[in-house]
Amino acid sequence: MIASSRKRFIICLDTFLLINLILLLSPRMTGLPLHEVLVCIFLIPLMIHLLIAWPWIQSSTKKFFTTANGRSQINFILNSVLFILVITELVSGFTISEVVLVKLGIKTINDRSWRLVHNVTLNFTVLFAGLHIAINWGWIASIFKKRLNTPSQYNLEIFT
Amino acid sequence: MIKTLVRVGVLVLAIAIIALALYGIVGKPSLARLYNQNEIGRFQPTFGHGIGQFLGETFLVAIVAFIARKWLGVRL
Repeated sequence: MIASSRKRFIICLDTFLLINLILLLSPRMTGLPLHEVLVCIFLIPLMIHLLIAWPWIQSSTKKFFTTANGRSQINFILNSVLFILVITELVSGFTISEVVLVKLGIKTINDRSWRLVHNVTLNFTVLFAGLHIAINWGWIASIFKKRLNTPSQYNLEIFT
Repeated sequence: MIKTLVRVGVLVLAIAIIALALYGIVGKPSLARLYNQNEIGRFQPTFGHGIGQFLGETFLVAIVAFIARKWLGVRL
């Protein structure tokens, strides 16, 4: 995959991930059955997102206790907390699932404590997702700036 | 390919550790703590509420990112 198409793929993937996350945060828009289906869909781009970021995960884990500066350490901690929050959200969601797992023949109990975990974690997930976007804003903005500044074939054809 | 499988394995292991820790903290789901409300009915999608919640959540994520970037100086 050449560099630009790789970046395009990452941008599409991350945009899809963000829209999916916001849809998951809006169960009144999707309804509970679609909310649970969206969780299953969410897992795939999440895995790909993490696999793409693997070189960063590997290097920052190694550097964390040795050469990393404060900002890199905070970034690592923020991303780790976001990962834990998202997984907590998913695990608690599956535990109290009322549609998807039940349809698959798996018995679940709609437990009050697990529901509380699901609802409390949600607020922190929003907070850390926002921080995750803020920390990577430079990269996101640079991609869009490059795309806007680079005259495409279409633009060249129009202006010649 | 093997590299990718190993990485997926590491991620699954991390997820399993978090799940086990959660089960250790919260405990197995129990009928004694059963939540009796009809959640499927409660989240029956309605256009107004749905759009409102979707825009609200989008705004919330955006505002956190904006405040973090602008005033807290969160950046690499």
